[in-house]
Amino acid sequence: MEQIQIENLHFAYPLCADEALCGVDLTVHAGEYVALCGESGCGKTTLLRHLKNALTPAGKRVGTVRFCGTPITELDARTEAEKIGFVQQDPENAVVTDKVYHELAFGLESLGLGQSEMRLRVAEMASYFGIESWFESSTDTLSGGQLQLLNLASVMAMHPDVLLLDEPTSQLDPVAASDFLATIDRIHRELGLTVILTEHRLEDVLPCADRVVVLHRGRVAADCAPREIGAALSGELAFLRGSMPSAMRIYAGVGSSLPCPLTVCEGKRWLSDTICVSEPVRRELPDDKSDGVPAVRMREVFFTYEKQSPDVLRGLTMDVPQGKVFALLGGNGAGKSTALKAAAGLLKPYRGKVELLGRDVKKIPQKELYRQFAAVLPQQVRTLFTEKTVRLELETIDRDQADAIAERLHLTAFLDKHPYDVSGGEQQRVALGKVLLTKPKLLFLDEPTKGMDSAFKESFGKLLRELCASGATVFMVSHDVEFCARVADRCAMLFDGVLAADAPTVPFFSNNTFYTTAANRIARHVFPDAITDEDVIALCRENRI
Amino acid sequence: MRSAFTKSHPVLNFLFFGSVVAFGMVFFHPVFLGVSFVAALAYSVRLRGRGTLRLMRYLLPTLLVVVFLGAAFNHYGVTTLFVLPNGNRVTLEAIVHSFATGGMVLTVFLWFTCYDAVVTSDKFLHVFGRVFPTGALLISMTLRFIPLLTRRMHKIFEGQKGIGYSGSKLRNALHALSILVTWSLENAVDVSDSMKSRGYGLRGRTSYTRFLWTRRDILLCAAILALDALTVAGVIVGQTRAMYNPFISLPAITPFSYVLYVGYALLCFMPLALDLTEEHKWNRSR
Repeated sequence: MEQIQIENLHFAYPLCADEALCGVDLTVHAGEYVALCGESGCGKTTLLRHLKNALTPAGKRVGTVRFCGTPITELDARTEAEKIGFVQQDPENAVVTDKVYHELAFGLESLGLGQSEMRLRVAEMASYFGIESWFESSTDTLSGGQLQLLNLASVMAMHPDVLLLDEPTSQLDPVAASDFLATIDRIHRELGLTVILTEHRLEDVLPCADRVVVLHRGRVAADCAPREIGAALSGELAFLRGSMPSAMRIYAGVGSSLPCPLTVCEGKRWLSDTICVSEPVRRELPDDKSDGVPAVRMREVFFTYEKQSPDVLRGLTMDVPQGKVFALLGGNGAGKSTALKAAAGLLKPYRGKVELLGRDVKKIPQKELYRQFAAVLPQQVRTLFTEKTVRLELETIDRDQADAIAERLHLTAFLDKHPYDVSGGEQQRVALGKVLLTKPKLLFLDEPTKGMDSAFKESFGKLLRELCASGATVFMVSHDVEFCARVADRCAMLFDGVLAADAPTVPFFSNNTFYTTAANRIARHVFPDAITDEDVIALCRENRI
Repeated sequence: MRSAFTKSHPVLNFLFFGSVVAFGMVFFHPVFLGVSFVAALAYSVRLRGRGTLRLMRYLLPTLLVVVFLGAAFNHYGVTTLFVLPNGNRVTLEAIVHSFATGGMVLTVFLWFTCYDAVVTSDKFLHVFGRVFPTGALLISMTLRFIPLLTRRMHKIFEGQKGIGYSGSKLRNALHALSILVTWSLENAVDVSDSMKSRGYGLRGRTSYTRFLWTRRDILLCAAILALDALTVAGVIVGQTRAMYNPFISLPAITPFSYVLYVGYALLCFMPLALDLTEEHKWNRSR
């Protein structure tokens, strides 16, 4: 049955000359799982919002969207609220009440259901999604992953026929993101719900999706099964390559007549069929000796947030070499951000020593510490914006250098806009510009790639490399294994308040079995030292059958 | 803490605290004051343990100060204990009156410490939501956003500090506040989308509750109302009056007085009795 029919949909935002959607035709059948993908600004969120009347943006619109045959604009509000569920990007804003059970019941209260019906549905949702153990908690105490799950459960309690999800995992760490997507897959399989999901990290989505719809500049560029995308990646869909799973990227980079692999497991099999090596190919690793004073030197650092609670850092000892990109990885709650803040002097350890470029951080005056010495780019870059325009943001730090930095970070096009009116990636660049204007010798980055799309990630990585080349040191904390493998010189893993591993990037990842890149997991049986897709592709080309 | 009263229906909790606080604020009669004080102290200690004892370390000296000041500055009454060097009299009536006033404030204060431990925000919302559903949602949202905004403010200060603006100066504090406002207004769009997409604004909104009326709740509510009625009857016949000026005068003790005293004690000690009975039963059932 055709559940959603979009016919020749055109849409333009007010005061915008270009159309955000130009002639989209799309039919979705009941029970399908559709992944909607494309670069930032391709119109995927705009399209998704046209499927729910309450959220459709204002603007000029031509064409029709039908839900079960009825034009969506004529659907009554109650049916729409009930039948079309919508999960948005940032769970922190989507959860509106103070208690978990109240949030679960929020939609049901709107529908005006009776006590017993509500009680049943809330109970069902709590047990289906495994919420029982934190059912009575305050929403304030939940992690990002729990909040997003609660948000989903609250929508599911209304018994929708269609579930729309707008980049639901962009604010989550990779583990929580995989869990969340596994739950979506389970809902789809067990309840036969129609799922339409936009996402720019497709590693976990493609293996589950029935169909992939690629949007490009407001048009449908491809609409096919996930596997078929693989063949097109080296051709007309090359712009999409960055957001595809590693297996597909390697497949597209090497080229093959075999069917396209989607998962690590399939990728591994495909690789064995494609190349011919008698024994694992190792490569000569460059010597990674760095002399001189480390940029950050931490010795037996202890830290805890509250007197009674257990230590977050338990004698952390770590050296960050000068002029390198250093990445600190680790699971949730391992204390990565705490380690970064302690290193940057934002938190004061109760024991141990932190030195920046050979000077005790406690003895550097605040004014000097964060001017021309160290600077921190926080996770929420918005916390840095105080001015009315991007230009003023830069000029408050350094009037003379503002233009130069704007040029370098490609900010010139929107210098006179309000910093909140530019896109997420652009905000990140503005914030980085602001931070760089303090001319730090040491740049601290807290989860810099959260919410970034792959294209911007790549240019951001380049920028960090350039900074290092000019003599600065970058210390970042990240969950993003792929990004660290590509950009960092040295990686360390924090676990239980101390370092569990600390090595140059290649040996770091090739020694790990689980905590490594997908490319490495695909190829480690033949190319143990290949950690990025490019490494694997290059080695594949050399060793082809 | 295992507490039967805490787990009862919120309406029962409200009815109880409404009664004892209202009576506590108007009764000056030493018997009624004493009963209420002992009950409040005992229940507060049971609910909050050391917290209340620590609190009493500050409250008792305060009471003594109140009595001292009352006696030093009020000179009415007929029983002169001694005369101050400046010629003012210190009277028994003034001391007893200040003692009663201080005791009354202390008692009501103790009842509020119990209220705080028993009536959680969701109980309050349940009772309030019946009368005023939108207001209840508003409070629930406020309770969600206060910690959220506090956390954001903290992040802003940290972010600003990391690029060299420490939070100490007024200019920096104002900047931080302006960031918080802009950021939150921006997010308000998402919040309203989330509410709209879950049907907020449809007619006939209901309010979900986790609390169920049990037969015991109904019986206990009836008991509270009956005891309230008895006490009010006592007020009407003048059994609760107490005069401290110019001389101490209490109503004559009749058989009905004893009924009133016992009734009032039953009311004030009800939660404690409930808790102890339940605990006893639970221990026995093991």
